[in-house]
Amino acid sequence: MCDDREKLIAYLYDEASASERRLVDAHLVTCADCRGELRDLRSVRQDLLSWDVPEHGSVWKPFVTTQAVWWKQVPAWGLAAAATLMFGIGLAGGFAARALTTAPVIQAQAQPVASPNPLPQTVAATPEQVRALEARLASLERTSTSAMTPARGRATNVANVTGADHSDEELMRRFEQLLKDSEGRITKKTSQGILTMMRNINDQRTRDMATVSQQISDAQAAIYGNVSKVANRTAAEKEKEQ
Amino acid sequence: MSATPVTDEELVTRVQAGDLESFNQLVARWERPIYALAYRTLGREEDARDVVQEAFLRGFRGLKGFKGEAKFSSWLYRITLNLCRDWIRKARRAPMIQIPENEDGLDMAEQMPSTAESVEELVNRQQMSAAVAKAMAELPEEQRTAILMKEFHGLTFQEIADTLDCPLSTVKTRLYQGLSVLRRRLDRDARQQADDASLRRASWESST
Repeated sequence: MCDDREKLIAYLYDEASASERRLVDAHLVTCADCRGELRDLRSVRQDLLSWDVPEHGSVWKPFVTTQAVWWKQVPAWGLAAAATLMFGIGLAGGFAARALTTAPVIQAQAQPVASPNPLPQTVAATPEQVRALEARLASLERTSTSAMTPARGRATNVANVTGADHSDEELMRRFEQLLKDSEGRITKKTSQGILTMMRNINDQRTRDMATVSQQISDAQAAIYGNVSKVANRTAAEKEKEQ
Repeated sequence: MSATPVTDEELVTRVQAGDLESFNQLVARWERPIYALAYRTLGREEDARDVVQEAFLRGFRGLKGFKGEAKFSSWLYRITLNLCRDWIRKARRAPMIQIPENEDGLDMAEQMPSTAESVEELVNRQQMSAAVAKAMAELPEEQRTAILMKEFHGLTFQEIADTLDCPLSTVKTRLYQGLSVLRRRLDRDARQQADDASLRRASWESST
């Protein structure tokens, strides 16, 4: 037994089985060496307790979660939506105006294609003209976008909330509804309840985002369609004049 | 907010599902023990802070691959110990013993006015703390680690064996050898201090 230090260590740390414990107990009664050994080990353990660790602040910079950002920046969200709304309206106006003024350029670009085999005057716009218009619009859009970069940067999270029938009052109303919902759920005061709430709000937000995105696409398509029509009409009128 | 206690494993699952806030909670739970382990292994506050930060970063990065075969804490301890080992090797030095700057007993007494300890007791405790730190720093790494895990982190023999990836009997042997060496060194230090004190007393008495 005196050579079995593993048993003594298990006994010291109270991790010996009941039978091992009885064996060691019985041995200690008769063996002064092992009693001394055990006493010394206990005294070292006592000394170890004096080893302090200096107080220190946290070294961890907590992750800022997306949910927390969204939650804290409710007013910013509304502002961004409103800002992007204005941008969208401006963009629509800009498109129309620019398309009108640049129509002759489009006509001139399209002309060489048409000239070898002049098409009948009744054709409003050739596929080439439409493609040229598309390219022109794309470059216009790039120019407008880069000019608006700061505003768009802030609004990235809200996607491109463009005008049409989606007013900022509507956004704010939806937002207030979300807040009301969340307040209602918070009163349940259980972490499970709060978790569910966050999840619901997040889902709702995701659904809203999808709706908003869809409406943006629709609005953009509508704007694009209108601009195309205006451009085509202008091109046709030009041709008639000639 | 009422808090039903959430287990580490539940938090881990949430982090794996993309919830960063749950990782913040895991850090809040484990930063102190991890810091204590790093500090007692490396002996320097600055190094310990760096290791703690790196341990949690590695933990976060590795959490996707964490399948829960071991307890989260054991897994985190292992990351920390590996980092400490790398740290010591890179610095090509043995663990250092850093005596905190405010080791003046009177300062300590002022900081803790409510404590029942006398100034003398405080000074003794500080001396003992430094002596233990020194003796531990001189131990072979595997014995020191086993003692740290058992004494300061309350791991079972089996958990230590899992963390250090060694047999159960090896853990017990390391503990026994480590504690025995510590006892001899602390006894030696105590005798040394007693001798120094009596020498000083003798020289003072002979000079008067």
